Amino acid sequence: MFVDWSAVGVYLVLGLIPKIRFLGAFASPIFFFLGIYALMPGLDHHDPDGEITKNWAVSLHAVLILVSYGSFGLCAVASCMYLIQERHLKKHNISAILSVLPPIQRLEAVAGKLLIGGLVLLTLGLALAPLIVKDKENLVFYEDAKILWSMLVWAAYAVIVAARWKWLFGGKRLAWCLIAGFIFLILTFSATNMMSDLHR
Amino acid sequence: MSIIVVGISHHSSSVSVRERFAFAESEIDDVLRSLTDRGLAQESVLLSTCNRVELYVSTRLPATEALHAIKQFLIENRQYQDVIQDEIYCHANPSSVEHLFRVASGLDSLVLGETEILGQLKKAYHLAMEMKFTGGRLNKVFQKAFNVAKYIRSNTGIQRGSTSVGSVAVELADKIFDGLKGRRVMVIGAGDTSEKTARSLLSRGASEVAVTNRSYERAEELAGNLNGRAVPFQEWEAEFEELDIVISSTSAPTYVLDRARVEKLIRPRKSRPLLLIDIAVPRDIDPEINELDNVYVYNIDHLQSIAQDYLEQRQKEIDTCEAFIKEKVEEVLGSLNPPGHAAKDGPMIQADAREAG
Repeated sequence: MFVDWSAVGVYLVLGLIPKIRFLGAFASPIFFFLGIYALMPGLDHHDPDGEITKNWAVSLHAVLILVSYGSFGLCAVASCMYLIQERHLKKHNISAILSVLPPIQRLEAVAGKLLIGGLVLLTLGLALAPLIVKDKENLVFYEDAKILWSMLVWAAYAVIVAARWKWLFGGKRLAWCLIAGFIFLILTFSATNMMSDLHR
Repeated sequence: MSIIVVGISHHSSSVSVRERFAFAESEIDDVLRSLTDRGLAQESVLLSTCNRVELYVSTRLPATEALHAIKQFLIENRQYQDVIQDEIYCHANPSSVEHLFRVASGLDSLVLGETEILGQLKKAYHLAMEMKFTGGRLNKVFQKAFNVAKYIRSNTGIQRGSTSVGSVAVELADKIFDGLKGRRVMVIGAGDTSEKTARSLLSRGASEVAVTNRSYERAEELAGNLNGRAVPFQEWEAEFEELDIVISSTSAPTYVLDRARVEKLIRPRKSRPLLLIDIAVPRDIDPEINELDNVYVYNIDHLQSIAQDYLEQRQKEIDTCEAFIKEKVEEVLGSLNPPGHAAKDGPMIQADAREAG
């Protein structure tokens, strides 16, 4: 649910920029279904010990990371719109012109900026992790599923950003990578939480 | 009081007849004054464009008499001595008002839904108003016509889309690039359509047009027309990396751009999109190039098909527009002829050569 709200929050801020406002039309159904998904029993747990709310580092860690997921979600939305419009253009459909979708170059630029924003937030959130676990003895980080998963997600998005910067990686391939990345993230998020002693 | 329109348009006559009836702006004052002095009109507006010449008149004369007299006036004023068949049409209200609303909305134009006519009509009206040839009746009717045109433009699809190859190309570019400002265009070859397409792109902000042609003189000539620069035909590939849009229109019998060549040329571009417009027949650009990532190839058939689709969409809107126009005609005539006043409406009359004599 927090991922859903964080995506909405990111959109509400970015939506102040007229050129990015278009994302709302496509993002709204996704936010809606994410919200329904989040209502599934057992996905979200209460915090009986108050560890999250009493420890500022834990709160900030969670907020930054979940907002970054929201940013990756909007990234995926922009990428979907890119692929739809790109297909219309390749097929020489009049829909390419009649559609209300913005130009594909703008869609790619927006996805790129959201990608960088998301990665920065994720990096900051993960950087707080050592502060949180410093008192936990006998913690072997590579045995915790969530930590490994987080490193994998960070690495995947970092590679995409590096490829974009170094080789101007873009177009359809970028769009598919961003969509696949977010789908992987959202489908495995809860499962890795359950497998992690630290995050359960 | 009748509202009359007498005119000639691309529907009723060829350009060789229309041009004999055209009026320069400097003549309008004299013509309308003469119309008024002869008692044929209490109010009048003259519209003269490349596709139509129309006199809109509010007159105290009975409709039938007014139609005949104004038609004769037009013929004599232009000193037209050839036989007139059906070239000149005449309408009295309500048809005259309906005609005006249709003209203002672009429903009577050569290209259905075009918007230029509204500006021309406004100009003609304001000119007549400044010269004090309009009054309460024509002011009301013309203002209503402009409102009807605005409503139709905003609420129907009659003016939607582009119906020329050049403007379709611009719309495509708009859907690929984030703004056309600063985009670089190259024209390979020469031709009317490629020149018009380049002009359309320039008018929307494309910053530079480079022209290349086997004949460097021809390239220079076209570049001069477009405020661009000529590039020798052997050197145009060197420019490819920086281009955004290429318009090709040569008379080459084989592909100027084949897939292998373009694959090599686009490598330095990374993932920057490229729009290739092929206006030539036979085609200059290998259609397989469209399969490459970030490259979009549109040939003349694609562009014309899109333009045709737009036209068909506009056609579908006609009934909606006509129904709205009928409603507004009744409204405005009702306000000009409130209950209790005898209506001076006359029938729609199509001029007849024998009647004119």
